[in-house]
Parts: sequence; structure tokens; C-alpha cells
Amino acid sequence: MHLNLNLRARGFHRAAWRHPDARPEAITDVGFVTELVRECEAAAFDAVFLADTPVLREPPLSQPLEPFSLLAAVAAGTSRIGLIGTVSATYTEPGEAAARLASLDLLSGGRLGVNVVTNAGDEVARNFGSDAHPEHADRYANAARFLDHLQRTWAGGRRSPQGEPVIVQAGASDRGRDLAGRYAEAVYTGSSTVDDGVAFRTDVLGRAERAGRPAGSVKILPGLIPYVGRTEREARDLEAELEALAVRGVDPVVRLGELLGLDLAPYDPDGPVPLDAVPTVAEYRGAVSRFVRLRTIVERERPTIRALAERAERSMNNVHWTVAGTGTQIADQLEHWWRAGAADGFNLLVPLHPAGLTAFTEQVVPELRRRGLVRDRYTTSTLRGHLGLRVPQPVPA
Amino acid sequence: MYLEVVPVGTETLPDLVAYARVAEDAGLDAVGFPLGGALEPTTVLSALAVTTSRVGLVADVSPAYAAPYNVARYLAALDHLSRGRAGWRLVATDPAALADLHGVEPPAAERRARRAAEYAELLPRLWDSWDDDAIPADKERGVYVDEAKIRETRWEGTEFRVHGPLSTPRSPQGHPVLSVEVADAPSRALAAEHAEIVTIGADLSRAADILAGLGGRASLALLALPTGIRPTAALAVEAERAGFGGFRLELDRPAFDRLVGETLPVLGDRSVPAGRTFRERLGLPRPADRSHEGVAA
Repeated sequence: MHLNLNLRARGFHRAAWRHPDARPEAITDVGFVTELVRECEAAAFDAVFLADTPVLREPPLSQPLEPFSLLAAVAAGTSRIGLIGTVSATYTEPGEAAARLASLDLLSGGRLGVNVVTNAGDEVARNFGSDAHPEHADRYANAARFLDHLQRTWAGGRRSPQGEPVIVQAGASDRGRDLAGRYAEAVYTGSSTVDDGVAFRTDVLGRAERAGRPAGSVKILPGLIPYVGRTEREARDLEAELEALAVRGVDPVVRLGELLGLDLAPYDPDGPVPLDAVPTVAEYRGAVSRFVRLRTIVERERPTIRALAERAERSMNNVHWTVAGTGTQIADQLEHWWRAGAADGFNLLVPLHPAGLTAFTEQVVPELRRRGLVRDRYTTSTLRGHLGLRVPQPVPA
Repeated sequence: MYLEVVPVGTETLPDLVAYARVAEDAGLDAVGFPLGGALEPTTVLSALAVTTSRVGLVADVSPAYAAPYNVARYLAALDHLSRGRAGWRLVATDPAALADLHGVEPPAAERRARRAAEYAELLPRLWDSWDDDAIPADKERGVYVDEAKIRETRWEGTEFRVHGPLSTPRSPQGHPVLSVEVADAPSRALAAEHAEIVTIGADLSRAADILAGLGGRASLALLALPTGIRPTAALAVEAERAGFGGFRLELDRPAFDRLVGETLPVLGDRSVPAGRTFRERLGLPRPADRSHEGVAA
């Protein structure tokens, strides 16, 4: 079972920075970030992961420094753990990305992974000379060209101990999954039930097989928000404590309407989300992965507008799988997902730093080790090695 | 006398870390890093940012390919990571490897010159997106970021259009220090208008002529010596007489060790007041933020 930390220095909960233990001024402090990564390394995690969009967006400053710059600094302060950053295929020149990533892969001794995304929203486009973000189909066609360019360039160099950086993706749309099937070696996903997780994993592995890739070429890593306590009560109290600190900005119902691409004002907030009025995935113009998760919840559970709005707001609009409990309870859940074939590992969205990470490494990891599910110590030195991935065959010219 | 040293043929992180530490301990002013090799400047220097504490870190930047918003982020990150020791050197020409890497024709000279000029103006504007005090992080009041202190850059250039604030808070130096490589007419014009440091790579008499004709606001001129060459005491005296404040040297590790062991002692007094930031070391002012402009977008 693979474990990655999805690192946000201020914590994944939107109010984590207000907690008495939080250090909100430390978000640009590389020392603070490196300490968190060292803690993951001491627990023999596979990797840390930095999300990124090249735009200033709400909530501000989840990650203020460009990820590969920060990871270069982290590489100098660590020795074994994998380092995964995010690059925009839409707004980065492929040659520029190929050079920076190959450089960092060499500097880190073969520990680099790259999450290739296409972004969503016109406000990103305005930072790069256009008014409108490209259409979904065009973005994915461009992403395929971008990935081809990276792999061609890297195949000509090949100095890194792991051959070339590990390709990671996070798209949930049909085109996103197709791209993942062709290129991705690890996939982040937002499945919120075991059944969804199994369906997603089966689907992507099937696409990889149809693309002619050998079994075991893709690892599926669902996101998980863990609230860990010595008792279940303590875990739930932390969640409640953070909720109580949350600042209500935009009305959650208005925000939900934006996320769903639908004006909810005419509807009764205590009535059901009007499924007929929600756009289809094909019609939707924004970030598809998050939209698919929300739409699935609407289809399956028929929640009231207010309930779904609160749920989206609690999880920073990302509706990830949230677990609150003791180390044993959380280990039970992870093992259940893993044995059911819903996951090859997990991407941890820790609500509060550093306390939440420490609780996970001290209470959940030992339990997973006792069950033989995660490593006691590193036996490999590259990210590809940690994930059990082969060095890709050079692409024929 | 200012000395900037560029590691040549050093390709692993431990070797680069060792090189930079020796440079720092010897009191050198900056470590630069070139384009076109297996390692890329902003990633290398971001790693060296946390293994050194005093030396300046100057990344070579080509304006030929990348979007300015991205480059602004790389350099702002370097300034944060190094606690205010970042510099960038706009190069006059690119190594051939760069065009191969991008797989497209490089921009023609005129277009490249326009791109360089827009980089020099636009990047500092992006770095001014946030006022210095835009992050109160006030737990009590629940105010993390003061959005009234973040302004949108509205740039409508010939080569670039950017509408939006940078995603990175203002960095310790405000703006990383801008160095310009002077080699031809466009780079002379660029240097005259924007450079804080100029580097000129020619034999001394020609370099002196170029420098004399340059004008502009650069507070420091560096004579860039060919790869592997160390200055002699006599050259240092002549260069100083011609208006150069120091050298930029590209040295492999053995030549660098000889620089530290043999050359530094004969260069005379080269004690530079150590500052906390690269700007302080160079005696350059820190650019004020734009809060005096009032209304933020």
C-alpha cells in the first residue's frame, strides 16, 4: 500500500490556519515545509505531492510557491522520499517543463514525479495572454502532445537513476481517464465510496491494458482526509473544532451553484438539488473531476441543496473521502479499500499541520505496518522503485 | 571587488552544494548558473538556496520561449527560498541546446529583443502584485489575506498580455536583482534601460569600450572571462580602471579551487560588506511596494 502526502503547508481544512497549533505565517517558510516532508520520510512514505494552478484563487495561498522550485529545496533536505509536483500542460512550454523536470529528477537522485494537469477556468487563461480557457477536448489533445514532448526529450537524455520522472494524473472525465490509461503511472482520484473506487480503478486499468501497457503500470491513489484521534471522540472533536473556526465568506449555497454551473437562487435550499437542471458532464465548462464527484453524489443520494453545500464547503469544495477515528479504525478502512481493489494506496489530505501529520504517522502507520501493508523502511531509492514501477521503454523515434 | 562564479561540469547535487559552500566561505558574492546543460538554473539554485545562507544566486534566463508569468513565479520562489538572495541574468543569446529542447524555431532577433524588454518590465510588475503587508494571518479576526492589498497586473505588450495578480506573495527583496548580458545592440539597449548589473564577455579593451558607451543605471559591471580562465592581479587592476567592479567566472571544480587557493589572495582587498539580502550586499535599494498607488484591483 502506497502513501503520499498531499502537502498544503497551512493544512487541508480551510480553517486550519486559525487553530492554535497552526503557523499560518510559515507558508513560504521552506524550513517548515521541509520538516513536514522529513516526517513523511521518517515514516517511509512513498512521496509528497504538491498541487498547483498558475493563478491566484480562492482560498488564497493554499500553496504560494511554484511547486518544482519548492521541491528542489526540499530535495536538498531529504534523501529517499519521492517528490511529486504539478505542471500545467496548457500554460507551460513543453521544452521548459522537460528541462526543469529532468534537472530536478537528476538533482534528487531519481525521486521526481510530475502531475500533468490541464487546468480549468478563464482566470488562469488571463495570466497567459488569452481571455478564455480552451475547450475540454482541445486541452486534452494538447496535454497528449505535451506528454509526448516530455517523453521524447527525456528518452534522449536518460541520466537519472529512475530513467525519467514518474507521470501522474488526476483527471476524472472520460478524456482524462483515457489520457491516464495511455500515459499515467499513478492517478489521483476523489472516489468517496469503495464501490466508486473499484469502478474507477477497474476502468483506468482497463484503458491502460487497451493502450497496450503491461499490468501493474498504473497505481490508483484515492484522496483521503484523515482525522486521527486516540479515541473516535477525540478525532470528531478535532473536526468540529476546525469547523467552528471556519470563516463564512461566500454563502455556501451560492458557491455550490458555481461549482455545479447552475443558479440555485430560485430553488428552496431545504429541497433536493434539482438534478434535471444540473448540466451533464459534456455540457459542464469548469473543472470536470470535482464536478463529476458532486454530480455523482446528487444522482446517488439526492441530498438537499443546503446539505450538499455544507458538505462541499467542509471539504474545501473537493468532496473527498473523510475518515475520523482511531489509528486502528482508519487502518481498517484503508485495508478494506485496498483489499477490495479500490486503491493501490492513498493520497493523504491532512487537515491540520503539523499535528495531523504526526497523529497519522504515530497512530495509523504503525498499525498498517503491523498488518504488513506498508514498508518499515525504504528498500529502494527512487520514486519509481518505491511505487514498484518499471523504467519505461524509450519511445521509438 | 565583486566575484560571481559559475560551476562548470558539476552535475550532482552534493558536488554543487560543496562548490557553493566553498564559494560562500571564501566570501564570493554570487553563484550563477547557465542554460543549456543537463541541469536547469532555477531548479539548481532553489536547491542551493537552502544549503547556503549568504551568497547571491543568479539564474540565467532566456526570454525566447517561456511565459513570463511562469518565470516570475520561479524567480519569486527562489527569492523566498533563499531569504532574499535571488538574481536573474537575461542572456543575449541562447545555447543551441535550448532550441532543440523546445523543438521550435527560436524567435527572430527583433522579436527576441522585444520579449526581453517586456520581461524586464513585466516581471517586476508581477512581483509587485502583493503589498509587503498583504498577509496579516490574524487568527483572532479570521483574516488570512487582505485582498485589498493584492493588485491585478494589466500588461498589454506586443509580445505578451497578462491580466492578473501573481500567485506568490511579495518576496524578501521585492524584486530579484536584474543582471543583463551585453553582447549586441538589443542587449546594450536593454541593459541601458533596465540592468542593475551588466556582464560583458569580451577582451578588456573592447569590453571597456562597450561599457563606456553604455550609460544607464547599472551599479555594477562585470567582465565575463572565457570558461576556465581566472583573473590575474594585473587584469584586476586594469579592469577596475576601466570601470568594472568585478568578474564573472566559469570554472570547473579544480580551476575553482585554484581561484580560491591561489588567485583570491593576490586580488588584494576584496572585502564586501556582507548583507542579509543580495541587494544589501550590492548596495542596491529595495524597491517599494505599490501600496502608495492606493486602489488595488
